Amino acid sequence: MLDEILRQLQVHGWGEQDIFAVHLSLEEALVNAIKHGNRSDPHKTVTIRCSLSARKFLVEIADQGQGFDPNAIPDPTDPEHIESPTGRGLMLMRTFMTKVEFNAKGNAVRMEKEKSPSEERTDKPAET
Amino acid sequence: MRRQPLTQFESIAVRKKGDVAIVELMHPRAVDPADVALLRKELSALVEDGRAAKLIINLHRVQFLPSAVINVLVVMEKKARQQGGGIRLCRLRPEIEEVLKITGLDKWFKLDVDEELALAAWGRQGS
Repeated sequence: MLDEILRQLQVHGWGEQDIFAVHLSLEEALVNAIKHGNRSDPHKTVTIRCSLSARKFLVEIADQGQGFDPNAIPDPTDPEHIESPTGRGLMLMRTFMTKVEFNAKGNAVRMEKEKSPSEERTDKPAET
Repeated sequence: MRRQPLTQFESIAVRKKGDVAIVELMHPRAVDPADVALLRKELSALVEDGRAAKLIINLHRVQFLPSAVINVLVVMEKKARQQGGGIRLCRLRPEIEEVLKITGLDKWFKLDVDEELALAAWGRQGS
């Protein structure tokens, strides 16, 4: 699934830096959903919905867990929390994606990535 | 418990130069929880039994550094520091260095261009 998304980004002419950003954010969001959301329960599922065009990638990842308050996660760059194992993945998602939003329950995340102007490739003009 | 020989690790390759352990992370994309757990186990075996306090971790194979792996490195750095050493990271791809900058860890770890400079830094730092 993830490999196919990354392949489609390439097909749609996305550059390496943007693909890295999407890849890292997807990995972090999926680990959050499986490990922290569903607590690695094999009977629970994670739902992924995504859409892709030449300029914008959208993805929604939902788990079946209790949810969490993303605003309650401490800043992992704060020296007091730098040794904490939580918060770094969320910070990377927020930095690398254009927009990151959670639902009210906190068990579904919607991420958006707009293609960087510097990543424009002229050899693959695919548009869907 | 019997020590695991340095040559029998799977997720890392270890060489010793004096009292410095040079460690290569072997997995380009350690994203699977089992891969991360193995890395944690093997680095722990290296650091926690006192075989290496001063480490250089060469990241030239690493294309992707998820937060789970970063967390392992943070824990190991602290343990190594508590034993009078620490971890220096070298040969980072620009995107990996960017990940460390975003998370504020470029100041937590010492970053070097290559193994030679990292070894020289450990030499200057002494024990």
